[in-house]
Order: sequence, then C-alpha cells, then structure tokens
Amino acid sequence: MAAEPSPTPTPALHPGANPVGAPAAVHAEGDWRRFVRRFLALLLGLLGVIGLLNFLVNPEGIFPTHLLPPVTLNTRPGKAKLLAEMDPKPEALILGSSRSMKVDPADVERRTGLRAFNASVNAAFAEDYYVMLRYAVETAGMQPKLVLIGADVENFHDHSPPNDYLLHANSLGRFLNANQADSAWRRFTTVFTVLETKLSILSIQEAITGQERGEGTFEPNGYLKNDFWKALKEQGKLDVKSRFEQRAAQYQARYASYTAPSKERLDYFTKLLAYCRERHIPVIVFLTPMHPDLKARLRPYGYDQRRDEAAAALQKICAQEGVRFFDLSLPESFGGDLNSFYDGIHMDEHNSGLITEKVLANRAPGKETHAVQ
Amino acid sequence: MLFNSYVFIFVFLPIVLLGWWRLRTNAPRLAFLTLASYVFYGWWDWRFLPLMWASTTVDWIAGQKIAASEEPGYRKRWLAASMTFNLAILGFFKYYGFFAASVNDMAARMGMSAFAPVLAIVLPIGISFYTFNSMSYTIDIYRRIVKPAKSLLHFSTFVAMFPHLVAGPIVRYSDIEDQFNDLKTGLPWSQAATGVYFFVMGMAKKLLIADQLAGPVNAYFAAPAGQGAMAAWLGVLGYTFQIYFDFSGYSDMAVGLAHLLGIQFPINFNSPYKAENISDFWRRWHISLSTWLRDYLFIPLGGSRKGTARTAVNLFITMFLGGLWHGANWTFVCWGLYHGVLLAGYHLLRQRDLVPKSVAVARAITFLMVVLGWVFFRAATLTQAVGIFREMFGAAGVGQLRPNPATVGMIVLAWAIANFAPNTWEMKLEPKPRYAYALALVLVWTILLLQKESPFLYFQF
Repeated sequence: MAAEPSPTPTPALHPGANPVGAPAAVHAEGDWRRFVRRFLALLLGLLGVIGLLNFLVNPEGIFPTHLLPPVTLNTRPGKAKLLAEMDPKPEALILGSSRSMKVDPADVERRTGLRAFNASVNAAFAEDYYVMLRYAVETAGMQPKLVLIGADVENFHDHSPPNDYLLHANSLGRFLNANQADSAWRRFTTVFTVLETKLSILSIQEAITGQERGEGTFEPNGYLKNDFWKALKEQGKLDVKSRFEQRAAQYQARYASYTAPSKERLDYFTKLLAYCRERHIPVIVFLTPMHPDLKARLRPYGYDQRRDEAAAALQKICAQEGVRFFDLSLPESFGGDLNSFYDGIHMDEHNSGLITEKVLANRAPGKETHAVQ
Repeated sequence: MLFNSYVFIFVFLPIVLLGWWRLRTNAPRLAFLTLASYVFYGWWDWRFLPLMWASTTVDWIAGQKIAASEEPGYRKRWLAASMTFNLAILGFFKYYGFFAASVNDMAARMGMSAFAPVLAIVLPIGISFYTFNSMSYTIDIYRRIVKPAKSLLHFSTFVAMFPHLVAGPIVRYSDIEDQFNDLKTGLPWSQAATGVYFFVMGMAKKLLIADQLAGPVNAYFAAPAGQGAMAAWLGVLGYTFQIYFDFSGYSDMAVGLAHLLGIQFPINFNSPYKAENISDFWRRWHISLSTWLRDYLFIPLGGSRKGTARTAVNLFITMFLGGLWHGANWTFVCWGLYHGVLLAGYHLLRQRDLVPKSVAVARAITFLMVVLGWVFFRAATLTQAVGIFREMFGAAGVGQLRPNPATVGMIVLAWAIANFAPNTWEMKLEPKPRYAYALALVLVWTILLLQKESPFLYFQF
C-alpha cells in the first residue's frame, strides 16, 4: 500500500489532473458537441426502437397491443389459454413444475374418473400453483373435484423472485399478493430487457416461418406432447451425462442462494390448501423425486437440509389442512427407475406413471367428490 | 439506489442533471444536489439518513472549532471528538457484532457462558466510505491543509454527493473544495463526453464482465469443499477478476457521474493486475483508500522513516486496519495481515536487491500473490479459506476436468483485458463518430441487461 509514495507518479493519474479521454485542446468544443449529440441520438433512438418493438410485438402478452400472438417460451400463458379453452371443463387439476409435466391427465382420469388437466408450468414456485388454481376456478370456470400438487423442494426458494410473467397485470398475475403486484413501472422497464427483446424476435420469426408456437407443445389437456428429450432418447442421441452436468451446475447455483424455505412461499402454499378446503376440493400433495447422483452433487450446497425443511413444512401444513402428503423425493419411495430420469430431475412417463399410481392408489373412479380427507 | 438500475438511469439521473444545470447560483444547486443525494441514499433505507446527518453535523462543527482556534489542546480535543464520534458509529454498526461473537466464542472455548449481548445490527450502506470522507476533512483542517467548508451546505454536499456516497472513491475535501467554490454554470461538451465515456465503461465492466463471472464464482464459494484443484483455481481466479471489474466499474461510473455534474474525482484504479510488485499493486488498487491509509495512518505511525523493523510493524498495523475496514470478519483481518507480510517482505527484498529483474516474472509473481490473498477476502470463514488453499494445491485432487467453457472463456477474456488493454483512464477518447456510436451501443446493451438487480460487491463494506 502506501508503503512509499510512487517515485514517479504519472502526472496523468494525479488527482485533479485531467487525464481522461482527454478532451484535449486539439479538439474544438463543437466536435465534442457533435459527439455527445450523436451518442444521445443513437442511444435514445435505439432504446425507442427496442421499446416500441417489444411493446408492439408484446411477446408475453403483458400490454394491450396484440400484433402477434404471445410466444410461450414461458408456459404460463399457454397453459392458462388451454385451460380456459378445455371443454368440457376439467374436474381434476394437476399443479406442478416442469417435473410434473409428464403426469398424464388421461392416467389420472382412468384412475379417478375425473377429467383432468395438467397445469404444470416451467420453473414454478409455490405462488404459481396458487395463482393457477385461482385462475382455473375464478377465470376458467373450473370446479375442481381433485387437485394434485407435485411440489419441488426448490418451489420454496427464499432468494428467487417470482416468475416475471406473473409480475405483470395479466390473468395470472392479478392473484399474486398485493406487495408483488404489477406496476406500470415494471411494465415500462420490461420493454428494455434482453429477454423481452429475444422473445419479440422469436415471435416475429415464428410469425414469418409459421412454426408451431409454444402452446402447441401441450395436448389440449395440458400434457407435454412434443417431448424433446424423449425423441432424442429414442434416437439414441440423448447425452444424459452432459444434461446431468448442466443440471448439476444450474442447481448448485440455485442451492447456493437457497438458505431456508421462504415464509412467503409457504404462506402461498397454506393459502392454496385453505382455498381448496373452503371449496371442499380434495387435495393430494407429493414431493417430487430427484436422482440420487444429483442429490449427491447438491449435498455440499445444503440440499439435504433444504429438503428436510421443505418436507417438514409441507407435512405440517398438509396435516393442518387434512391433506394427504407423499414424500416421493427418493425414487425408491414409489419404485422409481433411475434410468427414467432425463437429467436428474425430469422424468419420462414411466416414472411419472408410477407416481400417479402411488398417489392415486385405492381411489376408485367417481369417488373424488367428497371433501378433504 | 443502484447506478445500474432502471430507476437511476431513466429517472433519477435525468432529473438531477436537469435540475443541477438549470439552477444558476451555487447555494440552490448544492442544496438540490444534497437533497437528491439523500433521496439516492434513502432509497435503500431512509432510517439511516439521520446517522449521516449526525456525522456531517459533528464533523462540520469540529472543523469550525478546530479552524477557529490556535490553541493546540483545544484543537486536539475537537479533533478527538470528531474521531471518536466517527469511529464510534463505525465501530458500533460495523464491528459490534464481530466483537460480541469473538468474545462469546472465546468465552465458550474457556468453558464460560456467552456474556456479550448479540444484537441484530444492520450495517448502513456506505458508512465506511462517508465516515472516512468526513474524518479526512477534520484531520486536514487540523493539519491546516484545508480551510473549513464555507457553509454547512458545502460540507453536507461534500459528504453526501451521490456519485461517491456508497462505495467511493474516498474523496477528500481538498479534491473538490475549489470546484465547489467555483461551480461551472454550463457543462463543457468535452466534459460531458468524458462523463458519458466513464459511465459507459463502468457499466460495461460491471454488467458485461463482473456480473457474468458472479454466477460461477458464487456457486464455487457456496460449497468449495471437495471440488478439487481445477474448480478451486477457477473459482478464485473468477473472483479475482469479478471484484476488479465490479469495483473499478463502480469507480468509473462514479467518476463519470461526477463529470456530468462538472466535477472531477480522483482515480481509484490504475490497472492493478499489471503491478510489478506488491507495493506497486497498492498504488494501483483502490487508490483513494490506500492513499487515505498512507496519509492518515501509515505516515503518522512513522512510515518508513524509522528503520526496517518499525516500517514492518507500521505496515502490519496499517494493513491490519485496512483489512478490518473492509469488514468485521477474521478473513478480512487475515487478508490485511497477509498483505502486510507481503509489503514488509517486498521492502526487505528490495533493500537487498533481491526482487526479480524480469518484468514478466515480477508481474506474474505479484499477480499470484494477489490472487492467493483474495481467498481470504472472499471465503466465508478462515476454515473455508484454509480448505480452499489446500484444494488449490492438490489436497482433493484435480477434480472436474471439464470446466464450463463459458466460465473459462470469461476468465481468459477478463485476464487479457486486465493485463493488456489500457485502462479507462489511459484510453484516449476522441470526438469521432464511431466512438460516440460505440458508447451508445454498449450502453444500450448494458441497459438491456439491467433486469436482474445486481448490487456492487463493495456495497457490503
């Protein structure tokens, strides 16, 4: 440090000198004026163009403009649309993250006699389940006779913000807590984000090429139709090891900032069960599994502790609400096949079917109309 | 409020610049800037504003009293009052928890029950910076280096002005006294361009480099145990560049914002990873802090004027306190002492003419020493730091042999920029259209990346 003053201090670096980009005397102020004006013109022009593009294309459907149909890299609007369009209305609702997308509504219907819809959405948190249920009941006109919830330990992350889509004043976001509600400012700044710009470009590309939009990935009952990984696996092109590594890196980062189950997210879960109780809707909750090798990779990042905390909290809330809770976080708990994981967390229909069988065992078709067990 | 936020760039900054340059006379302009700075600070947590007001008022009064008297005892008492007050608030908010935990830990080791009450104290953001700004003012008046500020308003603006408020540079009153007394009434276009240039460069450093390294670095340090040498080196090197581009990016933005107000701040970073020895490193890294410690601590302790042994002791003390300034944790203390050892060692080697003659070798050794130091700085605990050192040198094997190519690529890019590119202060800005367009493109690019809030690393200090 300061052990000795620099013997040869560079004059240009001396405080108070004018070292920078030296607005040197060789350049007239007029040159700098034009420089600043050019800078401002391009800055404001580009921001204006990008903002206008994103506003007009409106790729997430958050503005009144509807130049193009919303793109659905985010599955929420697509699932909401399918749910609203399903006719006749479903009677059983499957809530979950992408890990529950392979829970087959047809399987649920076969076992319960209830027409089912899979409303699982990507990168879900507890609030997603709550808003999707309320949307199903209050907007889509569904009167559920069964709600099946596939909860993940990460659904209760205490340092991950809600999905951006929910934060906008749309058909789902309006059910969020008031403190998370949308604001005009948030909508305004959204048009200046990389994500929104990428979605706009994608939206335009899809409009030009006529490619199937995201919502086409799902069957009308919400079941994952175009299973990309399954296709790769069947072609022998699925590099499970590489996908596992990617997932491990992603989840390590996620667990690094996961310090405890979020109180607000547990409250959402409690509200969800209370909402069902008030409407006499039976609920079944299960904790989704993870491949033991991935668990081992996440152990140094506190996976075991978070799992135990989340499982205990869910168990307690379910017990209070009289809801059945299945801890299926270990594949052996439902006879799961370790080869039926694509990447350590996402499962194919085999394991998903085993889960459905496990949680709906002994439930005869047509017996789901009574209140909470 | 963060510089790298939509609300700052789209609302706060335009309003401040408009108000500042529309007002014509000094007092309303300084009042406007001070109020704006309080809004800037209060955006984070308004409850800590009174603390800053108290510090400002005490140091203002102390400065007046010291300047008004020729009686040494009286002057010294007021200086002591100012120092005591500033160090007391810094000590309470920043170090009480550390002190209590250390005392209780020691008691537990001796089989005694904990007796220091543990309080949940929130660290007011920027407290280390504005107390150092403020203390330098009274000390400089005591030393008759500067005259007291013309008014409380002048002094309040100096302490609070938002470009340097929360993470420096640590500006001294002598740096901006004349500038405050003779505020420009119109911003020269050349200075506007300079301000824009610095701000955009800072945004680029922060968002395009530092933030891109943050993910893998945080993931590594969250659970470093057992990851092996490859992951350890990548994690530590990643942090080495993350902290440089993050903090120097912040400093560039602060300098740029000051320029947009017609004010010049001192340089804070001068390509520190190009340093050829550890002493050189400290003349290039966080310059405003290292010169502060030199002028207000090292030199008063005797500096290097009292022999080798005393110089080493002075370096240890200075670096120990410099480390502690960064945070209340033994890791920072060790980091400071580590640099104290390096500085003292370099001092001895230089006396014996044992320093490397090759510039490349000297730079490589210095860089390696600095990198190792960051392990203490970033680790959560000393135990973790020791574990990382062990793994860096093979205690857990090589580990994962297929590191993420994006992380490796970003580290290599950052290393190349830090080592071979001219820094922000060395680049020569010219009023060519392509530079203007390039700056605009980079700023738009970084604005599009603002969606996720990303505070600067030095905000925690």
